[in-house]
Amino acid sequence: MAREKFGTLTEQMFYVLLVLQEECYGADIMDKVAFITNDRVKIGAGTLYSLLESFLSVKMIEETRVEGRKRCYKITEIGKTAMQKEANRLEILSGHFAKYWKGGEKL
Amino acid sequence: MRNTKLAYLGDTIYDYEGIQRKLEREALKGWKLLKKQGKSTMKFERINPSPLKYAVTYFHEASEFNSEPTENQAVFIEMCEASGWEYVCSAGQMLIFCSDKENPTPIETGEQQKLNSIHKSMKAGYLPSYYLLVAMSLMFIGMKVYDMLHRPIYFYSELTNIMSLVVFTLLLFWEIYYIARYFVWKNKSQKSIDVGGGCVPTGGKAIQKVFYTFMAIVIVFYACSTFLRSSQTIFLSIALFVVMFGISFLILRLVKKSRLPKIASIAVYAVTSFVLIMALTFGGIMLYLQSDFNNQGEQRYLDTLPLTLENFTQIPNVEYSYKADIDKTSLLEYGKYRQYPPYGDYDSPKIDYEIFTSEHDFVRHAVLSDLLSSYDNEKDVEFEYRSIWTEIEIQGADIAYQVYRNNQPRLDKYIICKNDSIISIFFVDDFSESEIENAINILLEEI
Repeated sequence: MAREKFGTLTEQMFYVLLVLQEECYGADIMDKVAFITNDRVKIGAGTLYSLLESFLSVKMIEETRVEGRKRCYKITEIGKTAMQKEANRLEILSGHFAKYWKGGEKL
Repeated sequence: MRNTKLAYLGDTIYDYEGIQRKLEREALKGWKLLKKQGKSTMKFERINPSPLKYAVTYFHEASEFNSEPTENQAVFIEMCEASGWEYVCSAGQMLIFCSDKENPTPIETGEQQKLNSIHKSMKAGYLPSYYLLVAMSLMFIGMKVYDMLHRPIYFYSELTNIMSLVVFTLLLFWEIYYIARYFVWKNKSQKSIDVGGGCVPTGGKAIQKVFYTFMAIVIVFYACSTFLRSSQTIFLSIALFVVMFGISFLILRLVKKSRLPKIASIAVYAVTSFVLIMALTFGGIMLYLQSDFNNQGEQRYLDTLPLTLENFTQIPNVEYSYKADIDKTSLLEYGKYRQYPPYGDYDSPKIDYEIFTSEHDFVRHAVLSDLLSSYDNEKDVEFEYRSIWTEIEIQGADIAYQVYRNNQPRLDKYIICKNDSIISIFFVDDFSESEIENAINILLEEI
C-alpha cells in the first residue's frame, strides 16, 4: 500500500522527507525546505499538514514529541527506504538524460 | 454610516478561488471579513481599503456542531498562522484565513493534497447535507404526486400544493445538478492534476444565476398568490416556517455552547429540532382546527349560495348559516357550500354540496374518478349489500350518477356533470322527489 501510494515522490514530498532526517515540527519543515531550495520550493501549511498525515498513515514518519500544539516528526526506516528508492530513480533519470539528451549517444 | 455589513458567499462551497476573489474585492472596497453570522451569511467590518489576501481551505474535522475547534483543527490553524496567515473564521468544513503580506505562501501548494482535502470535507459535511436535501425533496414530491393521484380535489384546488410540487421539483433538479457539478469538477481536476496541472475552475455560474432568477420569480409569484388569497392556513404555515427556522438556529447555537462531542451535538440537535418542530406543527394545526371548529358553532355566515333550501322547500324560521368556501387555482375551482341551522338544532333540514369547475379535461376526469371511487372500499362486500355509483338520466346534464344498492336507488346522493362543472350533492334529509328534481334543476341552471 505504502509503495503504491508513494511509488514516486513529488518534489514537496521529497523535501519534507529530506528535512525530516532531523526531528522537526511543522513550521520548521516549511522554513528548512524554503532555505535549502533557496525559496524555489515553498510548502503551504495546508499541504504540509496533508503530507504529514499521509506519511504518518503509512509509517514513513513518526511523531516524536508533542509540545503544546507543536508536534515533532522524524523519518522512519520505511521513509528512508522510500527516499533511497526515489534518489535512485532520479539518479537513473539524470544518467539517461546526460547520456541521450541532445548530442549524446544515438538511440 | 454603517460599520458592518452582511453578505452571502455563494453556495458553491468548493469554489475556493471564487470565494477568495470575492473576499479580496471586498477588502479593496473597504470591508474585511469578521465572522460567520447566521446560517449562511458572513459579517464584514469597515476598514481602510487595502489589498488583503485571503486563503480558503478545507479541514474535514471542522463542523458546525463543534463548540470549539478539534485538537487537530487547532494544530492545523496554528501551522497556518505560523506561515503568516491570520485565522478569520470557519463555515462548516471551510476555513478562511487572511494576510496583509503582499505575497504570502499559499496554504495549499500541492494540487493533489488540495483536491483531497476538498473531497474529504465535501464527504464529511456538504455532500451528506445535499443527499439529505435530495431525499427530503423526493419525499415531498412523492407526497404531492400521491395527493395528485389519490386526492385530486385537494391537490388541484389548493395553490400551495401545485406550487410546492413546482418548488420542490426545481429544488430537486438544483440539488442533483449541484452534486453532479461537484463530481464533474472533481474528475476534471483529478485528470488535470494527473497530467501535471491543477484544480480546474468551478464554472456553472451562468446556470446558477439563471436558476436563482427563476426561483426568485417562482417564490415571488407564490408569495403574491398567497397574500392575495389571505388564507388563514397559509399565514399560519408561513409563521410556522419562520418560527421553525428560528428554533433550529437557536438549538444549533445552544448545542455549540454546550461543549458536547460532535456526535452527541448532532444527535441532540436532530432530536430536539424534530420534537420541537413536530410539537409546533401539530400544536399549530390543532389550534387552527380548534378555532375553526369553535367558529363554526358560534359564527353565522351569510354567503351567497347557488342553491339554498328555500329555493326548493319549506324551511322553519331559524337563523340559518350560509357558508361558501371556495378554493381556486388556475386548474380547478372547488366550491363547498353549506346551509345549516344554529349549533345544536338537529331537526331543521340542511344542505351540503360541492361544485367543481375546470376547463381542463384531465382535471375533471381526475375529480370525477375520485368522486366515483368513494365506495371502492366496498368491493369485497356481496353485491346485494354493496353501494355502487350507477349512471342515471338527468335532463340537462351531460352525465349523472346516483348511489344504487342491489340495482335499486339507495341514497339521494348524486354526481352531475355539465359542461366544465361537476356537482356532488347529498340530500341527507327527507325531501320529496319533486323537491330534489327542482334543486338539481336550479343547480344545473347555475353552472
